[in-house]
Amino acid sequence: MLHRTVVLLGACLAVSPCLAAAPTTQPPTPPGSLQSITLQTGREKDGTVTLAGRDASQQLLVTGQYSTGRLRDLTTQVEYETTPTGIVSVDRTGLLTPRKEGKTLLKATAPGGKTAQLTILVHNLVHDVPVSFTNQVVPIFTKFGCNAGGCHGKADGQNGFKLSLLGFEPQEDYEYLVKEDRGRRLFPAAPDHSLLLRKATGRSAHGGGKRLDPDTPYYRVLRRWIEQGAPYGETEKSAVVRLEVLPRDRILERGAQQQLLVIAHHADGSTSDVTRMTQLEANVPEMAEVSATGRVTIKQLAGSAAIMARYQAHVDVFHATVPLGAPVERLPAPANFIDELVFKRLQELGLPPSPRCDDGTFLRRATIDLAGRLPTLEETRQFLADSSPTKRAQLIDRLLASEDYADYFANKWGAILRNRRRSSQDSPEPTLAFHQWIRTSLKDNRPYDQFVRDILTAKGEATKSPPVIWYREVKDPSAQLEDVAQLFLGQRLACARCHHHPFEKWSQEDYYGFAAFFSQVVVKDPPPPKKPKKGQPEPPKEPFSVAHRNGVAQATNIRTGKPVRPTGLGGKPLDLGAAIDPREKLVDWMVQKDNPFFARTLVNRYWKHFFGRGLVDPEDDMRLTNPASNPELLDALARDFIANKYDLKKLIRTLCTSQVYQLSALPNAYNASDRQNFSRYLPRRLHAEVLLDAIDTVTLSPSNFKGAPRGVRAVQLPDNLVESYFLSVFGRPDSASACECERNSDASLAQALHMFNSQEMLNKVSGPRASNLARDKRPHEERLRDLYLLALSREPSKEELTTLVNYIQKKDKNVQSAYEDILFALINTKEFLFNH
Amino acid sequence: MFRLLDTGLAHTCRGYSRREFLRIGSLALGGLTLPHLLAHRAQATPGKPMVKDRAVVFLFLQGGPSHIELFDPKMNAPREFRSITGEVPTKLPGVTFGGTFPRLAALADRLAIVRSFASGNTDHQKYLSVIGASNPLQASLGSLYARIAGTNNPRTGIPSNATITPEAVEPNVKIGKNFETKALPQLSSPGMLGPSYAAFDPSSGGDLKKNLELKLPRERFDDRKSLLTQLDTFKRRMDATGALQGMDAYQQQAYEIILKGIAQAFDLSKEDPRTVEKYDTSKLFRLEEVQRWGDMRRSSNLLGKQMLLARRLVEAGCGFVTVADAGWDMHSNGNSPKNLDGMKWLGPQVDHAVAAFLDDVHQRGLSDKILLVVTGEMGRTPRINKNGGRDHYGNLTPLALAGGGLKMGQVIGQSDRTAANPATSRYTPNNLLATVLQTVFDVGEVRINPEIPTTVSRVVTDDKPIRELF
Repeated sequence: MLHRTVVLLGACLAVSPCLAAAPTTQPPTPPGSLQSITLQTGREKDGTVTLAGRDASQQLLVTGQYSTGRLRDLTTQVEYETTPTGIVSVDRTGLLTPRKEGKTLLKATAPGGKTAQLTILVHNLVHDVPVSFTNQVVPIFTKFGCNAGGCHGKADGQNGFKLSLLGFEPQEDYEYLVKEDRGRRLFPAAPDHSLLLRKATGRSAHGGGKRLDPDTPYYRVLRRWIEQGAPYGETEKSAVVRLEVLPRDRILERGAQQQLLVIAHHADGSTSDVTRMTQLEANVPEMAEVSATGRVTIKQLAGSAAIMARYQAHVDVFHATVPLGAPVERLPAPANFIDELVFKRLQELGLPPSPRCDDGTFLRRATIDLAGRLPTLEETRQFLADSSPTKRAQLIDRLLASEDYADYFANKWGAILRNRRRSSQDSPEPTLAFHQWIRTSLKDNRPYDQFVRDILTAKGEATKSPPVIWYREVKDPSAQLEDVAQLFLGQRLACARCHHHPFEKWSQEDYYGFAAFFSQVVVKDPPPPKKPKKGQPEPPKEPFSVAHRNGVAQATNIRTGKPVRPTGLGGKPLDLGAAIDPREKLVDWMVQKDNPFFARTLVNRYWKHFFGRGLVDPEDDMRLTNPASNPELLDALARDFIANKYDLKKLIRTLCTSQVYQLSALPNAYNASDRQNFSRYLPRRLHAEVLLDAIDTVTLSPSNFKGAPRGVRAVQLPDNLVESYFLSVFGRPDSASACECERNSDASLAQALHMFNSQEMLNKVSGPRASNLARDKRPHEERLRDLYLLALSREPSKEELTTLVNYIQKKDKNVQSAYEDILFALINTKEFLFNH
Repeated sequence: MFRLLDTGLAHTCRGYSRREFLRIGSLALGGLTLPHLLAHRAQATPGKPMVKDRAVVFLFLQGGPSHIELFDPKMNAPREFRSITGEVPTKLPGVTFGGTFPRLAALADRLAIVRSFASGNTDHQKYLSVIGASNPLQASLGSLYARIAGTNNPRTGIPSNATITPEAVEPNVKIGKNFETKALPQLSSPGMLGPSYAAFDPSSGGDLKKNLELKLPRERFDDRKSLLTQLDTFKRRMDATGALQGMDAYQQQAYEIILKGIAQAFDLSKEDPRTVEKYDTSKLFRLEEVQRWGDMRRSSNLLGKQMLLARRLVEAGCGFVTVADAGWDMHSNGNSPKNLDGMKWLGPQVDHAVAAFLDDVHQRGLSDKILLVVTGEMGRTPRINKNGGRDHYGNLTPLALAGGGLKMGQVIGQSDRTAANPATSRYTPNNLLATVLQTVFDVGEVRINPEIPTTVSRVVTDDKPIRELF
């Protein structure tokens, strides 16, 4: 007789409280009729899967193919039976565990009768295989957070017990566990009484609480490992070389579930199922969550979600696309490849975009994004009156050619290139020179690869070679390599300085190999000369300078203590002669056409500038575990950028003349919560400097900045040291890191207080604009029209005019004060404060 | 009674709704007390919060307070080393404090005294070596706090980092100038973090404080507010974007705060007179008595009120308050009275002010939420000099801590026979810095937060805290 090893889960759906979290919304469309099912383990060879040892287990994955071509996970909805019985058991989650040695046929039957089968071979139950410390014990510490940065994984451990961060150094963990403190943590004679297990299960006082249940496979593995005398286990053959998540990607409806399989591939070609030993994490928890057993549940948001699997130093990612399923019709004709790829994605998702924005909105949007200012009254009038069909493209060209473009992008680059003074005693000339140099490079549209080369290979004195100033804030090789990696390659390497990067493949060897490129840089930053005594001449100030020192480039890996040759990330170590400046070779490596980081990082950074969110976001944290929301688009932009010889203005033109850039910010019935797929323009608050300049323009009250010539606008300031409470409170960056995130565009209470109630703003509001408007002899309606065109690039609506004229009439004794109030209200509207 | 965690509150997935902001904003003015605020702070970010529900009051005794006359009197040492002010027994068996600290002695079970703390510094000009442990950013603890926690409390708008000098509690007080005046800015220096992270000094006003006080006639402000409401239709059309909503919520909150005046957090006259009385140290001695000595020209009798203001700011949402008390440079060389006589004024004042503070926060149930640190830039020579004074000394420095959820009622470490060197392993300002930062932050979260530059997170993670306190 057949022994049914598992209940049919579908039957318990309605009643079982264990499934309270099951989706309430059923997928919108039935996927058609079931055509066939497949039964996968990710490990089968010729239809047979082997389970070796008592700790072996295997997650099953059953997938149904439907007549519509759709796939759906049926792992928990099929019936499993084995012939003969008793060799293995299968639980309701589709987990296969060995019972006794032998061979059996496993059959899965879907409701409706479609079947799939696999042969299971079980051995080494009688003579168990030794537990592998690296592959079985350490991952448990990672899975349960024992070796996390906040616990025993931090640099000096927790309450006297230390583990390597996330288990990247198993040999050290072995020392800590087995040998340290006179071996008090393990007790092979009575494994359950080992301090390790007593603490983990909360039987002895444990600051981290109860982490592990004795009735779990994890506990059993640890127990068995201690019982076996805590072997380190064989390492060479069983070393994990690759991690694989199955399936790789899937289109999943909202509310759907999907079982994942995580397979470790070993050096000897063997495989093991590590699904439950792996740390699993969703990148957007609002979209998807994943259980400890590898079951993904999709929530109610449409878009892309990724699940990261981490096992030892290896990561792999599952990608889910969650369609909204709305009809996408009447798309504008694509202007370029951006539109093709974005619209393709929107169609896949069933996410209709907002319509094209109107002319006034586009003019204001593009002028702010490209030139960092509001359009003038004259520009607005002309643009609205222009009937040329190509006027938007012409506008982009005009803006790109303007001085304002150079000012605004010099401001952007100045911050991330850390052009800053630390105190007012710092002479302003070097930062001014570097600012000028950045501005000129952008104005002249110096190709980006050359721009970067000029900076990274800069040498000489600051007065003659301004880009050396970059080295003033990044003095030592660590700072240099970390900034270069983050700024130009989108890689955050800082973690790998002290330990293996937790979310990436970068090890300390990679880190120090990259550091070696900067090993021959000599930075001279002489202190400012002492004040001369009275009557003595001022001593000459020595300039800041950077030089290359002849010598063989190398750095020391602090873990191994061994020297490392200069190595590009993921590249081969370079042998460089003593006379060669390794920085030149670094840039050579960066600008190779097949460099996977350089062009992608820049196009993503600029995408974020114009679209409000990076294709990869944060824009300088590009890693396998933080995937692009539209990878094809990112690749296409990078290819285009390289093909155009790193032409920045051309890139901006491509971005801004796309239909996608011209979409309205107003949401339709479907896309209000879309932030990933660019189905509308994402409104964002004006940057601190742009906002201050805009307020100055509208109130006709220019700010004066201490130490800067009169008439200089906030976006033109060369460095961070011009003090302005307004700019600080609205999040101007301090240029203290290479991260664009230093610019804070969040709203804050201090901002609102300043806008409403500061002497600065009160003075501006009652400045020349208010008195000009009050003295103007034209009807109020006309004056207000001009004001709206200036501030919002549109005419006021009839209701707005009525409101305002009434307000003025109510205050008839004091027209100027009425206009002051109107200016106050206008600059505090979200429509003014935001680019949209 | 208002509870922030009421389940009936209108949460949205983006955090607190506009209505909720309003409610919290208005409460901040009158009755919102620290536990609420802190609970809220911890609530505000989903997941594991980086900033814990703790605040720090750092009492810095400028000039180099004597470790012997404070908390390590050594009455069994030869006469030329012993505490000039004698000793008093404390609540802890076998532990005594210097003779001018009877009230703190009675509260010793709520204190932790570190007797092996050494600033390693013998110079007045180096406050930063203690309050910043000479970190490469040259930033004070308060500025580091503001860099990580944000410059203002997101709910109340109050600055995260403040410094309280005597002038802040009595604007017209006459305080002289000496070397301590010059060194004072170091106590709250933002260093390379930049001026936005400098401590807020209520005595100097500052933009934020000014922005809290309504500048227009009330009627006109209301007119503007209603006009803005009529014109601001854009938000409705834009609907659900987080950025617009956030801005709107803060605008609403700003109205409330300006109209009802959180500026009163800075105003001691709003405090219960009985509480003020308990803190007040102005009757202990007259200013003229102390200020005639050159090295005590910045001394005041206002420390009690400074500590009270510190408590008020913490309750209003400030996370780090530095209190500056001057005049501890007691060489007895003519610039300060002979035989360490300055202790007879400054000692009892610290005893009174700190004891009042500890009692007050204890009664309010805040002991575990507020960490008090008392120290200075150095200690003083163990051997009394020929004038009966003590000179600069870096091998030992007084350090007392209270509250913060740390282990209290203990003496940590020992000094040698003559209080010349640590007899147990030495604790340094780096350990103090790590202790404070680990009290207020989840260090692991700080380290992996991408918005914190590595130069900053390294300062937070590099050192080890004082082990016995945790």
